[in-house]
Amino acid sequence: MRHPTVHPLLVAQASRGQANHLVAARMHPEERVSRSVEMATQEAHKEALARWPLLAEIDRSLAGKGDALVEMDPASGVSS
Amino acid sequence: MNIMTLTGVRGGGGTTTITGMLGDALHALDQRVLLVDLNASDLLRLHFDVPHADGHGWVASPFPSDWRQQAFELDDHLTLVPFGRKAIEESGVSHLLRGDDFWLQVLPDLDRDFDWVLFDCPPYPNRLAPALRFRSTLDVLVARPDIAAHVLLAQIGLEATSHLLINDFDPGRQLECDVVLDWHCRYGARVLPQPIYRDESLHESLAYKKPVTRYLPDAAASQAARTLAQWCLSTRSAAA
Repeated sequence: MRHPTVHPLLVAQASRGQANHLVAARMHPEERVSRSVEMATQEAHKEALARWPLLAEIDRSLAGKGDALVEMDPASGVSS
Repeated sequence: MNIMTLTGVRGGGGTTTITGMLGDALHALDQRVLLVDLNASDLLRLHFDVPHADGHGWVASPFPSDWRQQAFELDDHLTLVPFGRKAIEESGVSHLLRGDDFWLQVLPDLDRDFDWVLFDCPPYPNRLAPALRFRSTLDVLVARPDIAAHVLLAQIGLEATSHLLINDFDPGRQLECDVVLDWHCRYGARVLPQPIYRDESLHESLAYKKPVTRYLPDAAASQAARTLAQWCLSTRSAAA
């Protein structure tokens, strides 16, 4: 998993505890957002498969061949 | 030199139109571009006002080393080699239809003159250029987001090193949105970041015998072509 970067100067200027706080402040909201984007995408994909029988049939066929869906990149919220 | 092969998942998907406008957009970014039409339909020439009845084309060339005699200098550092359907009609020549064999022999001669060579390849199921695809730095499949293209794409399989370019996308249609969503979920970053949205100016530009980037530079399709050209440059510079 990629972590959002914090500018090295900020880390250098802060105490260890402050730096950890900065990292946590940067990371947690983005993780929440990317997770919710991933969940919403998966949910929308399920709805799409339910809406169109042929789309679902092809999905099952490809899954049967081991052609898995790509995983979302938790750092960016986009599929990789 | 970068070699790009563009192939439609099926015929009539707009691959030739995209080859023309993307080549023109790369040229506008000061790239030296060669466009090659490998389709027997010989339509790429029409996007650049090369007459339909003209007999030039690479199939009319007796040897690969003579290809320049069949080329059109459309602009400084923008060159087109049509297919040459007329030559086949008139002489019955058909032994040079395997474009990959012909152009593989030409490739070493192109390196010093061009930054990009774009091959407009025949669509599936008659795709004829496996050797060129193997040599390409960017292999792009072009598909409209309809259910038939989805089935064909599942049959073909998008190779790990190939990219998918979505063309003629109407986000107002539920089915098209669902197919695009499936492709993004399935193929991830192999789907090019810029789709080409449905745009009447693309059809008009062919009727006007120009790529859309010249016919209507401010059209959405022209902007998409420029974005894709930038993506090509950034992708290749990152890979270099």
